Amino acid sequence: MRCSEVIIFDKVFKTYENGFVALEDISFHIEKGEFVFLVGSSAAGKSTIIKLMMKELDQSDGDIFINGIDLGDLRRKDIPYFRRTLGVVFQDFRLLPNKTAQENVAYAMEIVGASTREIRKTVPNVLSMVGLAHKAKMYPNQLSGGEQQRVAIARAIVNNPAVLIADEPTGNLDPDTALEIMDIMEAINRRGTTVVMATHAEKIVDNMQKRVIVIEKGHVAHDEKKGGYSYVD
Amino acid sequence: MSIRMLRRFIAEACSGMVRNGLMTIASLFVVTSCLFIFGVFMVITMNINYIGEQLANECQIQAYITSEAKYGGKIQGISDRIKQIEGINEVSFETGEATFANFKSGLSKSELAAFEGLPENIISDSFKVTLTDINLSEAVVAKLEAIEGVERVENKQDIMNIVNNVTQIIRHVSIWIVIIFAIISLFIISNTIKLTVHSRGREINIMKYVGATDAYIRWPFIIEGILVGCASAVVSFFITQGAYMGVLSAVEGNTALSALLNLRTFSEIWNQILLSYLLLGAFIGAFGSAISVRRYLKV
Repeated sequence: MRCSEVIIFDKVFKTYENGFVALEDISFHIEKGEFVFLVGSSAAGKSTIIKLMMKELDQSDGDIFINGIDLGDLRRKDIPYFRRTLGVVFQDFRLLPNKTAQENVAYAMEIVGASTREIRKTVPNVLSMVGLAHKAKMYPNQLSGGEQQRVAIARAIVNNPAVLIADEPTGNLDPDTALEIMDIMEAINRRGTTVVMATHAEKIVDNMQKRVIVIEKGHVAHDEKKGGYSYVD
Repeated sequence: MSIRMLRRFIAEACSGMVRNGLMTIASLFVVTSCLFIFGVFMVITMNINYIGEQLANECQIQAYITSEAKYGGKIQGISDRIKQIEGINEVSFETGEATFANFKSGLSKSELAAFEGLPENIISDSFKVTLTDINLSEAVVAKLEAIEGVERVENKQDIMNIVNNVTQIIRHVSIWIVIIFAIISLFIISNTIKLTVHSRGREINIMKYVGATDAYIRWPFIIEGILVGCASAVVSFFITQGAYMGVLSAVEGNTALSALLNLRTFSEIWNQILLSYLLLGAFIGAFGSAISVRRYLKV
């Protein structure tokens, strides 16, 4: 394992309890600072890969290393500490409904034990970065979909994670808002954060010309350094 | 847990209660109702025990002594031996003359005529004994009879047995009712708390995804449960106070009832009620929350 590799999937298999084989012999390495799209048709296995990366699921076989941590050896009580090394963005935003935008972002800092002073200093900066400083005191239900996703991104990056994982982050957004979100994701990537994004958004993948890993029926079908969506069958 | 964490947990718990206002009110209502009903049985049990104690005190045993003992200077010795018997509350000496005079004072003129001409010392001197526990009457009587110088022992055994049996039955039944009701309350309340937590299950999942530890998620819920439990305890306490004062004044207003039932005043029992409510409320709140949160932590 090279120290520049932040994500390693090595001969990973995943079979669900009902016998469904979601992944078969998946291998890829992602280096520090890369921007990678995980693409493929529905039920191809993209979400399973994302869930394995977050340790929401355990692999059936093979090795997964994230930020140098062997997920196969990770004990249950250590999972929260591992997740703090990641930033995660979901299609459905997953914001805490009873907290304002700034409280949602602050929560991610509170759980790592940041001081109140540190939180007060950092949260407005991160919200400014995603263009939401003026809506800091609004609750999720008072924000549009795009704004909610910006809050989710701010929460994901507030602790400066080495890896940002995004599962269909533009799936619930209109094309213009989706492009705005992608601008933010690219800016985060330029700061040195590795970004892995599962998506169906053909135009976004084609426009950005980043590395594309195509998953088909639980296998890696293509892995192109500067690819497009056209590899998907 | 650091002070900063504790402050955050308490703040989190308070804001959780406010932001989930309806569920908080629902929990508060259910916990208050359960604690109040539990309290009613508790107060009944306390008063039954109190009435039992009073009856025990009122049921005297009278041990008459022989004239040999009286004139042989053995009265003090007998008194000492009686005091050593287990379960004795009070011992008092009564001369035969006093006993006879007491007896006559309860009679009408025509009835008194039958006793005219009798000597005043017709009845033996005696010791009047009260018990700490009415259940011990048979054993105490046997021990009194065994004392040298005791001629005979008179106790209202039949009345004692009836009082004894009735208080025993009521005491057992009410204790079981309190226990059963405490279990039912625990079940109802923990289900209500489960509902509260269930409505926030997704919230708990999100907390897990952003890296919160189980303890970090659980503590605000536990504190919230304790706060709801304690608030319910205080509300139940005031309702109980109002209801109890109402019952007391109703009993006092009824001559027949007040002669029959000598109940505890609220000032004698308020601390036990409040403490039981607070402990039970806080325990149920904390326990219910901890159990309910657990199932959402497995992400």
